[in-house]
Amino acid sequence: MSSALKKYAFINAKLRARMSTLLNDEFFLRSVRAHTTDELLPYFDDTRYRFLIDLYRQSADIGLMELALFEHEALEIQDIQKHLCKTEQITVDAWGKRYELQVFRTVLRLWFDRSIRRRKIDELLPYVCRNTRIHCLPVDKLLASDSNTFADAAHSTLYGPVVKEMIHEVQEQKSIFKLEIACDKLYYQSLFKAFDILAPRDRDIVHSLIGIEVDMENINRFVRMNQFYKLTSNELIETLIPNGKNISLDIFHEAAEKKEPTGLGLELFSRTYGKYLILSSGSSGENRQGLSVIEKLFSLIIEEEVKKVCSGYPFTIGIIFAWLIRKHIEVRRIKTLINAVHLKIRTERSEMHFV
Amino acid sequence: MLKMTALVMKSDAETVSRKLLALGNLHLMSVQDFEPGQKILSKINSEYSSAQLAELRSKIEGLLSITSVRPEISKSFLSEQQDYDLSLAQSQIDKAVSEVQQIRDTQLSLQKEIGKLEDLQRQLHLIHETGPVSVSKKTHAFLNVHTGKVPLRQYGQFRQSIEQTASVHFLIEKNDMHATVLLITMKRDEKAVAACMRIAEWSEISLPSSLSDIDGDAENQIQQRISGIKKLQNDAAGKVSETVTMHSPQLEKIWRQIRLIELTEKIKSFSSCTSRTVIIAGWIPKEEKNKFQHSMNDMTSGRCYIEWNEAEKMSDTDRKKVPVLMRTPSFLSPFQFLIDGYAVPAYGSINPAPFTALAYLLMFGLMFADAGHGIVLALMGIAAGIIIKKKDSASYKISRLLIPCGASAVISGILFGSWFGFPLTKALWFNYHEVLSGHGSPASGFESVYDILGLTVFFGIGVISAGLLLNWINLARAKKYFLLFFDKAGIIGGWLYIWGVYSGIFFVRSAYRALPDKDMLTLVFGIPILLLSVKPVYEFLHEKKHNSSLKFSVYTPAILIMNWLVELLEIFSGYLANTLSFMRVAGLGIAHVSLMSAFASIAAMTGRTGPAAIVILIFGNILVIGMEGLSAGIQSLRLNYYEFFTKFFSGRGIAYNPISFKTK
Repeated sequence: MSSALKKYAFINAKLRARMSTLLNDEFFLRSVRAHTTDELLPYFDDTRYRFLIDLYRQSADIGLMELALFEHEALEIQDIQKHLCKTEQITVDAWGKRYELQVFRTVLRLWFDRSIRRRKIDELLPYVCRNTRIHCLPVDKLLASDSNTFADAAHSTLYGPVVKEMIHEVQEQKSIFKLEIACDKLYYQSLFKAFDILAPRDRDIVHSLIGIEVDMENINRFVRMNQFYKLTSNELIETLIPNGKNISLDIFHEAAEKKEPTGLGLELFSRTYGKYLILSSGSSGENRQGLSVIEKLFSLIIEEEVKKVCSGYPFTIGIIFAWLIRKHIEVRRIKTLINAVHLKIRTERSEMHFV
Repeated sequence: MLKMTALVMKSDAETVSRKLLALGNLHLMSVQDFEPGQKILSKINSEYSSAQLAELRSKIEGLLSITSVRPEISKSFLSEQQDYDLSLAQSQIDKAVSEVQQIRDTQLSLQKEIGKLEDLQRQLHLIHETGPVSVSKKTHAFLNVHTGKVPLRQYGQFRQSIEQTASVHFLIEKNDMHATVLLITMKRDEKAVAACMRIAEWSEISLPSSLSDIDGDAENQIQQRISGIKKLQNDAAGKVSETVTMHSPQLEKIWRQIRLIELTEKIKSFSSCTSRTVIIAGWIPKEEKNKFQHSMNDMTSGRCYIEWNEAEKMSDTDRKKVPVLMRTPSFLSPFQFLIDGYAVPAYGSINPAPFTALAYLLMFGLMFADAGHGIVLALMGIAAGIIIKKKDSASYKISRLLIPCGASAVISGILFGSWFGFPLTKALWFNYHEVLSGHGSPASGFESVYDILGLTVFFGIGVISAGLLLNWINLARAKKYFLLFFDKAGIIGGWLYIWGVYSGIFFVRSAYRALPDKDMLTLVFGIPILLLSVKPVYEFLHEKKHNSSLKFSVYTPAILIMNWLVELLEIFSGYLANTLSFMRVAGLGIAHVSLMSAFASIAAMTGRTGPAAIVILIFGNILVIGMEGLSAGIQSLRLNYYEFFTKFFSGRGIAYNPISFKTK
């Protein structure tokens, strides 16, 4: 008990103070009414996102703003790390590898477009994160490599072995889908392994929070796979990530046997997260079938879980993950806001994202 | 406060609205609210779309923020004749927005150029990383490498045109006829490069064998070009400011017009009208009545009827809607900020700011009793006040609070003879350091920490008593005589508290062995306790009168007895806890001195005057000023909010918020 207090008292107070500075719904609902990016910028004046003002006024580049937001979010972890003990540092570090994974996936897609599909990717190159404080991927080496040298270029990365194993399949099938799935699985595998060193209470909390994310990812993947690929139920299950919170691989296996892709996502959701269906009461029946609704529901469920963590026993790792998740949600909303204003999406439509 | 109801001619309504904005003393209230159900009056239809007005204003504010201009309406602007043409305003704003957007597009294309050059730079680094590779022999993912000859007469033009693309070029050889050039370009610029080559009569040759790698000049070339483009970007950013500045007078004027329309529309939304007249209503401070009346008469040439009603003569229900204007002198404004953070006091109650200031500063001084630290704190407050530009920000208000807190710490520091943790001067009251070490002077009456704890308990009794007294005055002014006697913080509650305090002191003075006379206790506690049983009965009957569904049942006596007992429990345990809570003042004061003594001891261990000792003492003082200052500030606030305010503060008031041209 005393050790939990010692470990989390300071970071708990610090992060709770930071949580109070998170931008609220009112901020988004007011600012989304801006008609131009210049009109939107003053809203960021007294926030932690002031850097966006200078960036836009210098470059007028929305892409760079998004990149800066990505880096801002990813660097948040390093700011927290210095206040943590070794065990928690390892866990948070393992979680933070998702930013590296995200960059790797972007690079992989760009590489695939250029070298396999023969598409032009030059316009997108400046927007790939190359910040070495966030990851140590040889981004330009990977992007410049051809189909024969990509595996060598990726050799030094965490994903090197997976790439080496699957690169031929990528070339043959002209699809990186399975390689992406393998990278995701590798990430979650190392993440859950990092949780093993935590105290039981901490382990349960992070399992629960990340488990929901895994469930969401699995439903998404399961429905898409069912729709676009002809896979056997075993092959289908192979693509999923273990350790979901409420939806075990057995449940997916059972669902895969039915072979009725229509409404499968919602059915799976109803079976396992049925009590949260009430959250979708505002959606129309037509939309409820869609994955986007399930994704929205999962975001709400994660927010609920985060709220629970914040109102529960304070001296756990939960507060750190609650902060990281809330920060991620905030950054995602800001990206949506900037794009909505830039693309001049109707206010009523944009507002739906912030209520 | 006075409730004002004015009847003016419709033709004068616009002028009157402007005058109201100029006067800035009318807290609007909806006419529909105080005359509900009437059918003669109707709402005034708005001539403008509020959404359109807000959109235009927001666009202007967005543009002006680029030059950090915050437009405001001046009083003189209100008297100017305004001609509103929203469509013209719209087109003027759109013109400015589009001009800015054009420059933004230029900035974006320049940024894309920078992106290309940075890509080229990265690709060249990649070539260097992979070793001294012959650039021409390697197949590059994003680069094209050319070696060729250009007629000398074309070379200058070729350089100019090729520099428009993301490329680097090296002059390998030059003779009277030709220039031999190594050119590295991005594949994405293939077409543009081909065009340059064609114009320059480029003829491709193989790379001379003597050149196996590109030299470091490439880096410089790219850097120079990036710097050049960044300069252009800066110029473009400057142009945006210039454009906004150029349009600024017009935009500011439109902003003022729009804001004026919005404010007059707001007045209209609170008003009602007949076919020829308009009724405006609101609250005005009593002393402004004459000024208001004269202004309205002048403005309408007497075509105006005003009715006045005093808030004091209104029913309890109506009085709850009266806005509260706190007239706090400017030197007390930091404390008004603390009160605003709690709630708005009910109309008619005493302004708590002076009492809060006194209680807060006394508490802070007792907890942070060091003259040296007080001086530092006050200086910090002054410095922060100068540095912080936004005068209405919370940070600025807190910085202003630091000054009186520092002064209070200086006074208490002098009383206790404490300077930066050392008893440097003779204590005027008692020496905190000596008392803590158990060597307090008997002459001062403070020999041990218990005496300090006792002092803070007495201080607490004083604060709570003051709170009770304020509550009695507030209740008497509000003519709530039943509550004046039977409230927890009423006269009976106060009586019980005073006798509780007396009994407590008696018990302590008898070395915790005896209580006052039994008969006397029975009398002084028994009678008021029995009297308090009236309160639940009265409240039940009062509620029954207004709520017909409430019936007397067999359980009612039990419920009433339970309410009475709970109320008694709250009085006894509540007052005891409130009083003992003030011991934290002693706790923090003791911690302050102890921490400084600890740092002094650590410093002494390293030698009294050595550099290490000085560093330790400086660090200790900084730490104590930071941590203890914060703790003392928070604890003083907490004691005010929970032990003092709860006795008299009814935070059900509505803040007086008059409409004016300064309204945000």
